[in-house]
Amino acid sequence: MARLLQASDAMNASIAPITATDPAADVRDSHRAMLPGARVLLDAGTCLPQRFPANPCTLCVGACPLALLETDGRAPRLREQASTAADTCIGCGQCAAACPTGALHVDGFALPVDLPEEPEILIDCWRVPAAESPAGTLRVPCLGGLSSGWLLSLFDAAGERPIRLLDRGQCAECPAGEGNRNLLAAITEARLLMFGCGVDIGLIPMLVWRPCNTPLLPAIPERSAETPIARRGFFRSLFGAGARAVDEVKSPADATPVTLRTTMQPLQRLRLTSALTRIAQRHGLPVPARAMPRLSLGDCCAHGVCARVCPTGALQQVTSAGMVELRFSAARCISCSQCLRVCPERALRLDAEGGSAATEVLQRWRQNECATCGADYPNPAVTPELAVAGTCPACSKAEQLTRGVAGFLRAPVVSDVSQP
Amino acid sequence: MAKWGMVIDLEKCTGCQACSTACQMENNRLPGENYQDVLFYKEGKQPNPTLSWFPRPCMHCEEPSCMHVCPTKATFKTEDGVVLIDWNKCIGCKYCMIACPYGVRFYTDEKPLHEPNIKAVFKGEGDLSWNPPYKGPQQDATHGVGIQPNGVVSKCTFCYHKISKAPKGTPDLDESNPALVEFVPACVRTCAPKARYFGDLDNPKSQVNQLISAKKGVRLLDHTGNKPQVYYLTGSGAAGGAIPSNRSTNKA
Repeated sequence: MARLLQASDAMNASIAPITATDPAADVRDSHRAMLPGARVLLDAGTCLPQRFPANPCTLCVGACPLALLETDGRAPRLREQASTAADTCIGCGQCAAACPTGALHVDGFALPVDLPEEPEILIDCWRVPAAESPAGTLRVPCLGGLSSGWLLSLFDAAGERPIRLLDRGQCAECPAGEGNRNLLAAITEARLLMFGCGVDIGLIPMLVWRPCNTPLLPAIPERSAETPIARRGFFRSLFGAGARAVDEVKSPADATPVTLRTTMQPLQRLRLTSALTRIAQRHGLPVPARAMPRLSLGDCCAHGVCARVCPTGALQQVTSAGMVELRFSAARCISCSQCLRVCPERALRLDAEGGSAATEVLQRWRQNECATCGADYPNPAVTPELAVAGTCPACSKAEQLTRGVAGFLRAPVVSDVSQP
Repeated sequence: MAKWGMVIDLEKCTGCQACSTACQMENNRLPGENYQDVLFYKEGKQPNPTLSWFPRPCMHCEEPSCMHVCPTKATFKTEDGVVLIDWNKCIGCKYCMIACPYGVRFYTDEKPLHEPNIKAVFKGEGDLSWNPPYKGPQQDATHGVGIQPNGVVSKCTFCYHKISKAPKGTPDLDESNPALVEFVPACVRTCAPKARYFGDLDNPKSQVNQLISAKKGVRLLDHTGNKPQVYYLTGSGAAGGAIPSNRSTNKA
């Protein structure tokens, strides 16, 4: 339990320093190319269905405009035909934008460390020749690969300058064209959240019509063609490429980490909530309830399974000063519903919105000591069927089993043997 | 493939707990967390109470409820009918401990049950919960064998590191057969009154099957539908062998 506490403190501390411009955090050492040379990388250990085989998450599969991703209930794979030409995946990043855990990664979407000075921030697509983009434009592989969290972080980091996304009029012909759908959803969500924070209507992200005069590049270029790499970045990319080339031999399934017990950092979620918190603070308003899921508790038996399966540490069971608390931090919650699925009592309920930004204590129990074995256990308000007063769940079960089984193994006693 | 099962003859069991001790040595366990216990139950009042007992290993159910609830599918059933935990996949959520009707699973990270805390004296390296001064050579995290790592649930493996090496097609792992003795689970091998039998439930010729049919072996909490692969022989007659004074051996 002490371990849990420390972990929670570390997590709370880690929410604050995450800024919009956190370059390397998105791609982890455990990210592997899904097929040799593929632009989309997978960190199987953080993929929800890979962790929890019954988890129905298929957000990435739905987001891919080329329908290249498939899943058999575990981590997604690139379809077979993609293996013939590794570049069948065009690197638009729409799957990565949809992934709630950051298990998928596509290069090119890191927020820049040095933001342009212009009064408006322009965002353009890599397929547009670089010369066509106005000076200081932020360039990303595909506008469809932007999420509402990304837009909000940028807005926050840029000191609330308006964001203008350049519509080059050719999305319909692009293989990633369906990205418009994802982009519009992301913009709409970002706008609603900004309104909730009291942001002026003139500052919200807008799609602006700027038809391109020259033909677009035939495909989204590789990162190296897009950005000249600084020397340090060059060496890093060299070593990184070497390491990745070795790893590509392994299949994603081999890349399962040694332990799934570590909680993951839901970076996208943390970026969104921390940006939103700062924006709302600046405008003197509370964080919009729209962004905060609400978890409520019914007949809870204090098993704590929900807290232990929570992949992001949003739900935690913490012991302090003789009390056991079930704490929920909506800012970390990615609404994966895994807690609902494992609750033996089905006592949890998750609403998409209406929660608070601060960590809530959902339930508090007294810490009891088991009269039989001396173990500590939370004393629930609702007692499970098998409970024997004053004993921990394990001892209660043993006691019940012994009582029940002693009678069963014996059948009726015919005579009292102590009497002659 | 074999379907390993155990038969425990309650008419022979003396409640000496040598099985628990053997298990402790074999699987690097400490008191209070042995993979197998002997449960005692006292009934009646002085001057004539009755004491009954029965050993409780993991039942290695045919339909293990622990396996069905596991959110990470860390608990699995092998082809030879043994229920095991993959410690690499286990996240220690303890749902299995709630689901198991027999209470045979252990999570050992919490407050030590005995003082002094042996695990603090023999500190584990890396992920392991402790570093016992005497330990078996086996460590197989994917089958839940060896020293328990921190943050995972553990349970009886039927000594999987032994039985999985037994020659294919063996009907019974009998500790009195010198050729097989190394493949016999520790509790079976050590049982002084020879109350335990271990064999293949799929083989009609195995001694375990013959005992179950001849002596009407019963399974615990059969109504749960878990279908344990551990059978208890309670002796003939109206009174079962779980109570020593009821045993046929006494009446002879």
